[in-house]
Amino acid sequence: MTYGLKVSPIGVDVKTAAAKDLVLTSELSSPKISSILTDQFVKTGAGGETFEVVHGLGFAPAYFFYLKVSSRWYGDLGEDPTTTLRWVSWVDDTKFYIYCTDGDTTIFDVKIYVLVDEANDVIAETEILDLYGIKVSQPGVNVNTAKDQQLVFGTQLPTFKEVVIADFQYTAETGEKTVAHGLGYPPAWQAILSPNPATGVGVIPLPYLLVENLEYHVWSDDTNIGVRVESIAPGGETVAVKVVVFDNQLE
Amino acid sequence: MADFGIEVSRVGEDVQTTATKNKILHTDYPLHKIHLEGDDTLDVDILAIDASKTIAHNLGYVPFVFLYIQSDVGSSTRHLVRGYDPFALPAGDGYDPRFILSMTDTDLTIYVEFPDNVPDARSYNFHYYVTSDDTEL
Repeated sequence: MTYGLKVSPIGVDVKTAAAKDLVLTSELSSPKISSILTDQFVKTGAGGETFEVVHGLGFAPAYFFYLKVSSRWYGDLGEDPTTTLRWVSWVDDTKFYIYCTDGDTTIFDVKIYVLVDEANDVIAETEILDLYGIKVSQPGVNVNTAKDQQLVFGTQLPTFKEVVIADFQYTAETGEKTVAHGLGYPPAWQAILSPNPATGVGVIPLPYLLVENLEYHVWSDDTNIGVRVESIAPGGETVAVKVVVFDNQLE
Repeated sequence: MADFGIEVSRVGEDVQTTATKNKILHTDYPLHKIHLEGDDTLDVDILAIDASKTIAHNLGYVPFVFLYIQSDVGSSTRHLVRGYDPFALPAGDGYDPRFILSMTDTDLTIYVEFPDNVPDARSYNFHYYVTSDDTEL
């Protein structure tokens, strides 16, 4: 590519840095946020119950989903040890769904980042109301006519900035571990686990919820990123959890 | 803040005074970048009890992957696949699929398993994003 935009971190030569080490490069797109949905629900009793959040897009979008219960923000599926609430989430053309089981009467919050989604021909195009800002299109795409999904970066489209990487290690042990993130608010996050406890090889995204057996949960609050492990992986081997923390405020 | 670099604020925010969380771009914090993305299909043969599909990313390290799969063959429902689905989403025919995603330094694999051998062939569409992040795992 003979033109484009690259931004490197301080101390890294933008001309020689690998793409993964750059803050921004027009060669690589980023998950961009088209809208943010929030809601609060009350789960009553121990039976299963489905809650809904309308997005109204007409297609099932990509998303990052977070659920707050007992002052902690968990991921798109999980179990809260305090209330014993369990949940799983999904999306269709019109709504997000949260199916909850167990738990006593529980109040919980959800925050959903709806992403500009390249999986759909129909685009949730952000209306450009302002005549200023920065847009960077993907290589070969005219930035003046590019749709949101064809942009690498746009002032109108918030994305996910990585501010902290938290590492955790468990060796034949269970329980909870935390790392202070220093942000002062509960941040969005994504996490992975190595190795896959089911096979002993590979890396899997978290949460991992083999109910009442092997469970790996991740959460954030105002001060910490936390991991909770229930049951020891088969073989008792050492497992590593890595959490990337984003500068996106959940609450 | 260092005395050089790039910061871009959201529209309506003063870039010189707004908090970092209100900035779209900041030299100190890399964006979550996508190395590879695409659509594919996980095909299950008749009478199979499981199936898998592997896609090469060839990064040479393990990245973050976000994979959204069509949970139900007959609908537009999608969900983000994790290491293990705790609740199989009802397929309506008694053969509820459980999906599992696993990554290595060369590829990603999406697995599906069923409680019993499925009586007919079926396919699940999915869309994946492979980030450029080196997780060092």
